[in-house]
Amino acid sequence: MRSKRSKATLPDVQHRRPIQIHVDGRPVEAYEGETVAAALLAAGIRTFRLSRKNKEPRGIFCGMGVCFECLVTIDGVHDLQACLTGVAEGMQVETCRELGL
Amino acid sequence: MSETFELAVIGAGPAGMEAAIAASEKGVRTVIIDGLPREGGQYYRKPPAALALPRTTGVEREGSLLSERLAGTRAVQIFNALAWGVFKNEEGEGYSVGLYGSDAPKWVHVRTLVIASGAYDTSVAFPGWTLPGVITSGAALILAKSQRVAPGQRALVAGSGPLLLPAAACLIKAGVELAGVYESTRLFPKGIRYAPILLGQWQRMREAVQYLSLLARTRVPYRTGWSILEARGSEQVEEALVAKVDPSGVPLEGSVRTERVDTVVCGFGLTPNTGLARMIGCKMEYQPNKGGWVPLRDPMLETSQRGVYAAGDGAGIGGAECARLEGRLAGTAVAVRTGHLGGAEAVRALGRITPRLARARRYGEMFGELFPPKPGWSSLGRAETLLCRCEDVSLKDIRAAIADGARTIGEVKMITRVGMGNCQGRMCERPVAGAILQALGPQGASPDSVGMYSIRPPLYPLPIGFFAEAGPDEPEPAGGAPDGFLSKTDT
Amino acid sequence: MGSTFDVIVVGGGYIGSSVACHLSRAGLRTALLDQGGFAAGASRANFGNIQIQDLELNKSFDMIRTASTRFEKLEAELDRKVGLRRLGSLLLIENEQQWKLMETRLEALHLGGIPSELVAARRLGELEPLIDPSPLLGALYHAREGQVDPFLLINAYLVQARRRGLQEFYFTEVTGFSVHGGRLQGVLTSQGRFSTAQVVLCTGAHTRRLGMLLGREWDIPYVLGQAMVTEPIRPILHNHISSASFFEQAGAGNAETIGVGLAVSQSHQGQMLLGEALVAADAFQRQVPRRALGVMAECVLRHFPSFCSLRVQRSWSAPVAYTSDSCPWLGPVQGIEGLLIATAFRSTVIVTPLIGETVAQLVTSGKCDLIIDDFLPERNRGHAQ
Repeated sequence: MRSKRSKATLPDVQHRRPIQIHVDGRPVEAYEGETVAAALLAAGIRTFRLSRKNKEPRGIFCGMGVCFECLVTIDGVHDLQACLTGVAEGMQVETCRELGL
Repeated sequence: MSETFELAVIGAGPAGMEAAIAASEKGVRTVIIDGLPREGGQYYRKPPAALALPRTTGVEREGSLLSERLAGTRAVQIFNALAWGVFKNEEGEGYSVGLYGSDAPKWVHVRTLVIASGAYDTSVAFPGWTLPGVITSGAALILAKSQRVAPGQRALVAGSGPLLLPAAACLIKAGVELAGVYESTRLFPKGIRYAPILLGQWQRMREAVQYLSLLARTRVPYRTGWSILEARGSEQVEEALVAKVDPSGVPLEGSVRTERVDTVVCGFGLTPNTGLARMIGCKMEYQPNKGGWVPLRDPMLETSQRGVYAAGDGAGIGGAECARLEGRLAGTAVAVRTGHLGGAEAVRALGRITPRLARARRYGEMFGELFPPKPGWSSLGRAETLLCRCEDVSLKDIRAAIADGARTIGEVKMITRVGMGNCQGRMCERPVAGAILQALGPQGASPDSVGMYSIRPPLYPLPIGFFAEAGPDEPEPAGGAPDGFLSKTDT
Repeated sequence: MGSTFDVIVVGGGYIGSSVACHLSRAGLRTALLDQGGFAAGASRANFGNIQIQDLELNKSFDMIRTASTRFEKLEAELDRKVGLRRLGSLLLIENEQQWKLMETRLEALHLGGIPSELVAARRLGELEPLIDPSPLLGALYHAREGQVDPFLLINAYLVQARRRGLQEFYFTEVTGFSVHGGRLQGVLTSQGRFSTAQVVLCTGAHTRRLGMLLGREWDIPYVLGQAMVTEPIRPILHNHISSASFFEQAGAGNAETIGVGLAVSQSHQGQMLLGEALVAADAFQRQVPRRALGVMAECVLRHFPSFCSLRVQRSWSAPVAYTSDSCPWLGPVQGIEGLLIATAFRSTVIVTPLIGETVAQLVTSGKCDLIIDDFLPERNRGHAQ
């Protein structure tokens, strides 16, 4: 996980203070100011959700809040756009989770 | 919590910032609203402050100057706030804008609006375009430039238009290995015609030359007259197929190449983001060279709705320079309408903008004409290719609805649920309209007869709990009349 | 346009599409006109519920009961799926007055042989676990109601009608009627004149305007009804849930009361359909009033607190026609031979198949099996004279 992280993240960011988030229970390194989408991609996670009917993997697409493909559950709140949400220390991110009522 | 202003500018990109600056410099009480954490839009999008990167490029410097000018005005800036709905006040002039954001007021009430909502990548549905690893040129730029994350290890860039080059360049700089840049338009000899316009744009020309020389230095092939055919993989992109295309974008037999890549970056030009304009009922017109459906505007950029102006790429793709000038024009027009500017001063202010705007528009139109949307894009999908990513509606489903007799995009939407999902049809409108045109073109269907999706609030899917919190307990705007609503709980 | 038809149906919603289909099946050269696209009016913005929504049951009961029998063979007749499924329904009771009202309704339903029962609040959890019973006394429960997909049903009628020669003219607004010697001869529209001796108006809230073109004041007002739709989720509801208060208002002799009442259903695709707010209006508008969303959200959350984080994808506003005596208008218009009206139904989805059948009988033979004496157009005017 960490080795992938350092490959994907550009050198000018790597010297900054890392924080830790949890993705599906696993610790993932992130940098303050990053979006959840960027942190997930940097950790090699590309499937953010499963499509509604066919349950096929989907990930970041438009990157700017338009397409709603990158929806994840963050701290228990479902359907948040990973591309618009910033990371925070200790954040719990869940991928491919369906809403339960 | 609600606030009242003379002007709300929705979108803080090049057009919105200029509009807010122009209006508030003339004394218009202005609020500028954006969903991003800071001003700049996608064009001047800055890396988050926490990443604190040095700014180097001309565009970044340009954006910083604009930010400083905006900060110097009295315009109120609201960021991290989605404008989810715009409502006409039932009586009298003015609009209420619904906002969603933790630090934002729930409503702002205004006399005038400038919609500067920008644009997003035009969707082209090809087999495999829903696989993780297929991203838009906009996503590539944002990830590599402002998030400093490489979206993959080996990528292919495909599509059409001037955004492919900066996308490719930023990927190379981010250390991504590029299998090639595939531009579906053949620029030569058509492009020669536009040389005189280009000669007046040294800055942009120099950028283009820099991009091309970077491709050459890194031995990345730049092929024109080629298109993406398909992305393949089980869980994510593993390979991509490209092929030569004819001038209308239809793939030619026997020219298919396969590239081992984990990322496909596609950019097929930009589509104006017109959701809010449609929601308030602005009359729309179809302008293929401006990116599709755009609000009808008068020379002062006012739409068919009184007091609602539209500026920048969100009102028709014209590029950043055009967007800035349109923003300035709209902001000035609002100052005139609200009585802060008049007489000779108004004439002078407008006279400084309009000739430059005309030049910038010619430059923007050149790209529209050089890289028009191609009918062949609608022939890339196969029967099982999903056109609607939200509701998993395939081309086959859409063809079945057309075979049943659906003639408009609205009818196809009702029968198949295409466009009813989270994105409000922003992703699938063009592919679905393209599929209908392809099927019914021989019977005389046109973009006008096929039509567009209607948009109703909310513009973004928001929790029910939020609406319960946002209303109806909001006070009416000062001077506004109650809108005839009787609640059982009121009695 | 210069076209000639045996019969012209105006309005392409539930009723109009069914009528057009039955007329085409009867072999008549039929045209369908609508000022918008298909299902452009209230038929676009509803839950598709097969639900007895009539305020009064005495006059409408035979129609409802006969109509209910038509659903068994519907999908076979139309040769397609229309999202038809069985669901129960719950009318939530919040006070003593509503309880009494529902007791009376229960008797009427039982007399008509429609199974239903009054359920105490403590038992609601068995029927619909997500309802918060605390503000409730109980509910009137019908086990055997249902739902269709509005668009699939309307589309199925139109597809079948087209195969039998129906011609459709959308974005075609009726601007006048050609009447000579008390006989209808044609319809004038924004797209030209259509010649025909028979016209059926299935025009909902637009009916009043068409009456004015004939110099008549028709008592068919409308309200704008709003609802919202959420993101799809797995099936979690077993019933339609609405408020008994809808009937309370009518019981108080105040059919024009407007406001908000609970209406919650889940579509066969998983979306939650949530409403509804009713707003007085004297102009058509598709724009949802600013405050409607908040009022509806508050009402829904009072009964379904767990829906709080469910996301709303869009909202509707559509004009819904009604009559002052709550009965529909169905039958010929006196004094204009060839003009029929079929509109302002309460339980529109239930009666859709039957009304198509009935109007086709009226057009072809001037008679019908259904007793329509209480539904004749302009009946109020007749009494007044």
